[in-house]
Amino acid sequence: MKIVYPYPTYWPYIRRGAERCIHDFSNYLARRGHEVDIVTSKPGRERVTYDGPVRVIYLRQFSHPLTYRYGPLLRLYAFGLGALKLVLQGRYDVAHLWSYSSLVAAPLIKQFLGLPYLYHLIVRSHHWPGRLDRWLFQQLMRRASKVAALTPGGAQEASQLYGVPVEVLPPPVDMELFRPCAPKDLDHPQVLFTGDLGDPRKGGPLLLRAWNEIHRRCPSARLVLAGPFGLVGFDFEFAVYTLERMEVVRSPSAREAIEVCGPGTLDQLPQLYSRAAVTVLPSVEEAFGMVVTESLACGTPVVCSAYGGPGEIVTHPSVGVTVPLMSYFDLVSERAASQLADAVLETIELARRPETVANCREWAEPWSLENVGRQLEETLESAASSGLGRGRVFSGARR
Amino acid sequence: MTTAATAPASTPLTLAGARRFAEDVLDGLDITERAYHHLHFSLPLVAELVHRAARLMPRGRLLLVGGNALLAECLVRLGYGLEVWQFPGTYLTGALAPLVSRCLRLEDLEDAGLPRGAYRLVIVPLVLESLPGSPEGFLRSLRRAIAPGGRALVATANQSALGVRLAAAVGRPFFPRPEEAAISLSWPALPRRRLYHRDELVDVCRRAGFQTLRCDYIIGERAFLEMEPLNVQDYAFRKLRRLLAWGMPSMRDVIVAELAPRLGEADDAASSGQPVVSVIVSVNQGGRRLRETLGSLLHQSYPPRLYEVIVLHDGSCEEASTTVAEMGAVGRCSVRELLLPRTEGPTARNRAMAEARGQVCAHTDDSCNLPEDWLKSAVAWFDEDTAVVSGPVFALPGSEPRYLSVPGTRPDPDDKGFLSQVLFPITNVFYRTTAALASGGFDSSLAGGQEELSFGWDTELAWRLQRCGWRVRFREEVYQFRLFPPTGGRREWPARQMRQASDLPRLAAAVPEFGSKALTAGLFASKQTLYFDLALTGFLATAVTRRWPWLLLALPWLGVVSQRVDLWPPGEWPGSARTVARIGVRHLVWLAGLLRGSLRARRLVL
Repeated sequence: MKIVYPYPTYWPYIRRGAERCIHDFSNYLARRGHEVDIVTSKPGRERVTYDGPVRVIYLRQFSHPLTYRYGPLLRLYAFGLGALKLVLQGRYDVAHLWSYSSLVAAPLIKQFLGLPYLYHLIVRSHHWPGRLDRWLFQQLMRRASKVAALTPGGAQEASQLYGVPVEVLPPPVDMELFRPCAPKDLDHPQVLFTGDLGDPRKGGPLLLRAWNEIHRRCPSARLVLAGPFGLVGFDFEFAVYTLERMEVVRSPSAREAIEVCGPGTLDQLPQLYSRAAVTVLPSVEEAFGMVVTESLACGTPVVCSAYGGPGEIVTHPSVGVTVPLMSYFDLVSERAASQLADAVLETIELARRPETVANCREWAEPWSLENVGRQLEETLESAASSGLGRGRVFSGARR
Repeated sequence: MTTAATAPASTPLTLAGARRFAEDVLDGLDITERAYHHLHFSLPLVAELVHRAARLMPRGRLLLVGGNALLAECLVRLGYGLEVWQFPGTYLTGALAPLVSRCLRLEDLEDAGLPRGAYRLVIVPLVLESLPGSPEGFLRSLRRAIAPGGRALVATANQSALGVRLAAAVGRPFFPRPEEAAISLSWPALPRRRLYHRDELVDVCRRAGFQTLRCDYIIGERAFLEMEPLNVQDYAFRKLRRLLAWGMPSMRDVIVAELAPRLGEADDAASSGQPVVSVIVSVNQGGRRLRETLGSLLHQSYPPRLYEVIVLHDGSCEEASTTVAEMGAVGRCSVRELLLPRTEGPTARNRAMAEARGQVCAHTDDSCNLPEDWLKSAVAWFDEDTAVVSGPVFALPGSEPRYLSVPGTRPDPDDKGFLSQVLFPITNVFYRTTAALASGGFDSSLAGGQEELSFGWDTELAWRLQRCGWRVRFREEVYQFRLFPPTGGRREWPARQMRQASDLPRLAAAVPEFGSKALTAGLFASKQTLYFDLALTGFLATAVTRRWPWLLLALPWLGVVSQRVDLWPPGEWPGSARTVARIGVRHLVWLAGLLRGSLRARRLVL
C-alpha cells in the first residue's frame, strides 16, 4: 500500500501525542513494506527529509501575527490546501487522517477520486469555533471509510455522538525502545513531567503547585520538566507564561529542585522514564495519554487523572495512582494540588517496591507496537480495499 | 532527519551570507516550533555576530558568554572551538549541552576566574545590561582571558533605542517586569538593570583595557514574533518602529562593539598616582643649557626617590658627562647618562625607554626650562587608562620668531590655539612606558635621513596609542619653556625650511588626526598659506587672462602682510616693500616644499 499521513505539525517542531502516533505508525507500516509519506508543515522554508524509511514532506507554514489574532484556523486550512495538492499528486491507496489533519476536501476526494481514508479521533471533545468548521468536521467523520478512537470509552462516546461505527486503535508503545534502560536513584527520586509545558490542559501549573508540598515532605526529590513549550498558534493563554515563570513554586529551595530539560529527542525519553521514580500526567480532557503507556513500558509507575484515557489505562494500584481530575476547575483547585502531592509521594513509595518495574512493563504490553500496528495495518487494508482506485489515474500525469 | 547546514566556503562571510547561513542552521535544528520562532526573532543579531566573528577571527578557541542556541550552533558549524557559559533558565539544544563549561549566575560573572590568554575570541551578547554592578570588572577579567591578537564582541541594549525614548516620553518604565526564573527559548531571560549609551560603552571598555575597533548600532530582532497575535494597530506600530530604526541608526535596539585588548598593561603603581618616572633628556646644545635643564629637573616637587634622569648624549661633548656626574653627586635623584650614536630620534628615545626603570617616561631636551611642578602635574593625570600626557611649550626669549618658522610646525601656542595639542612634541611629553614599548615605540620610518630628523617623528606615537584605546591628555598645567634656536644663516634656511615644509604632508598622511585637526580645512598648513595661495592664484590668473578682478584674490594675504609693514611715512615704503618681498619669498619656499612633500607622501598640503 501507499499511505499518506497529512497532518499540519510534525517532529521536531511539535512533539505531542498525535505526532508521536504518526511517527510510530508510519515507521511500523514502512517497516512492514508499505510506502509511507507524511505531509506536514514547518516554519521557514519547505523541505523534504526522511524519518527513517518514511518520507516527510514539509510545506511552508502559514504564520503571521495578524492571522493568529483574527483567524487562528486559517493556518490549518492553509495547510489543508497545500496538502491537498500533494495528496492528489501522490497516487496514494489510503490516507490516515487525524482530528485536526485539516484535509477538509477528503470526502470529495474519496467520492470522486476514490481515495479512501481512515479518520482517527485523537481528542474526545473537538472544539470548532464556527458552524462551517463543525459541519466540515462532521462530513469528514461521516464520510470516512473507517473511524477510529484511541480508547474504548472514546469510541463509545464518538459512536453515540456522530452515529457512525468507531473502532478502537490506541496509540502504540514501542516496547523495544521503551524499556528499563537506566537505574533509578530512589534516594533522590525524580518526578518526571513530559507533558507540554505550554498547554494548560496537561496540568503543568497544577503539578508545580503540588511541588511545593512534595518538596516539603520529600526534600531530596527533584522535578524534571522534559516537555515542549507549547503549541504555537494555539496556546496563548496567560497560563502558558505563568508556567514559564514558575511563580507558582513559592519556595526558593523547591524552585532549585526543578530541572528544565526541554523536549530533548526521542532517544532520550526511555532513559528519562527509566531514571524517574514516578511520571506525572495530571491532565484533563486527555483522549489517551501516551506518557502513561511509555512510562509503564519503562517500568516507572504513574500518577494521572482517573478520567479520560489515562483513567482507562491505570486501573490497578500496582502500576500507579489516579487523582480525580475532570475539568479545568480541578487544575486550579488547591484540593487537587494536595491530592496530587499525596499521590506522587505514594507512587514514590510504590517505585521502591522491587516488583513494580516488572508489573508496569507487563501492564503496558497490550499497547505494544506489534499488537496495535498489526491492528492498524488490517484497518487500513480494509479501508483501501473499499476505494475505487481512481486517485491513481487522476494524479499520474504530474508524477 | 535533519539537514545540516554546512559552513560557508572560504570566501568572506558577508552579512547577507551570515543571515542565510543562520537561517539554514535554524532550519536544521531539532527544536520545537516555538523555540524556532523565538530564535528566528533573534536572527538579525545572531547573523550580525556571526558575520563579525567570522571576519575578526575565522578560526580558534571561542568563549560565548550567554548567547542562544542558534548563535552557538552557527559558531560550531563555522569551525570554532566553542565553549559556552550558560545562565540558569537558558534553553540550549541537547547537542550543545556538552559545550557548556560553566553555568553561573550574573553575580558570579566577575569572579569567574577566566584563564589567562585562553581564547581567541569572546562573544558577550546582551549580558552587560544585566550585570548587578559596573561591567568594568568583568570586562577587565575578559581582557586578560583573550590571547594576544584576540578580539571580543560585545552586544548590549542601546539606551537611545526608539522604544526607550518613547517609554521616557510617556513616563513608562524602561524595563519589562523582572522575570528572574523564566525559561528562555532564545537569549537568556536576564533582568535588565541599566542601558548603555554608545559613548558610555566605549568609555567603560577603555577603562577595562580595551581598544574599541568598531561600535555600531544594530537592529537586533525582527519586528515581531510570527507566532505572536497582533491587532492591526500594534502590527502597524511595530512596522513603523522598524522603519524608523532603519532610517535612524541611533534608534536601533542594540549596540555591538568590536574590542581588542589594549597593548601594554595598566600597572597599579602608575594608576595610583605615585609611579616611578624616568626623565629622558637628550643633549642638543650642552653646556649652560644642559646645566639649566638638569638643574630645573633636580628641583622638582615630585619625590626625588620616585624619579630618575637619563641623559642621552653621543660622547662628543665632554662637558655633558661632567655635568651629569656633578648633578648625580648632588644626590637628590638618580642621574645617569646613556651614550648613543645619535642623541635624538626614535632609536635613541626607544632605547632610553627600554633602559628606563620608571612606569612613566618623561621626554625633554636641554633646550627646556622646566617648572618645579612639571613632573608632579603630569604624573597626576596618569590614571589607569591614560598613556600619554602632554602640555604647552612656551618659547624662551631668544627663540626664533614664529613667523619665520614653517606654519604648523611650532608647538608653542599660536592664534589657532590647538596646534600644540596635536603635536605631542618630544620636549614635553610623558608616556606610559609599557604601553609605548608594547605598541612599538617611536616609529623609526618617520625619522627621515641620517643628517636631520624629520618634523613630526615624535607626533605619531601618541596618536597610535590613542587609536589603541588609551587616553591621551593635553593639560595646560604641564607647561614648560623652550628655546627655539634660529633655523640657520641666509644660505642655509631655504633648504632647511623647504625640507621642513616637505615633512608636513608626510605627517598628515601618517597621522590623519593631525591632518584633520591641525591643518586649515584639512588642506592648508595655515591661514597664511591659504591666503598666499589665493594671492598667487590671483596674480597668475591676472597674468594669463589679463582680467584685473582676479587680483581681488590677493586682498586677504595683503591684509595679513600689511600688519608687518609701515605704510606711512613714504620713507618707510622701500623697507616695507623689502619685508613684503621677504615674506613672499618665504611663502614661495614653503609652497615648493609643501608641493614636493605632497607628491612624495601622496597627501596634498598647501
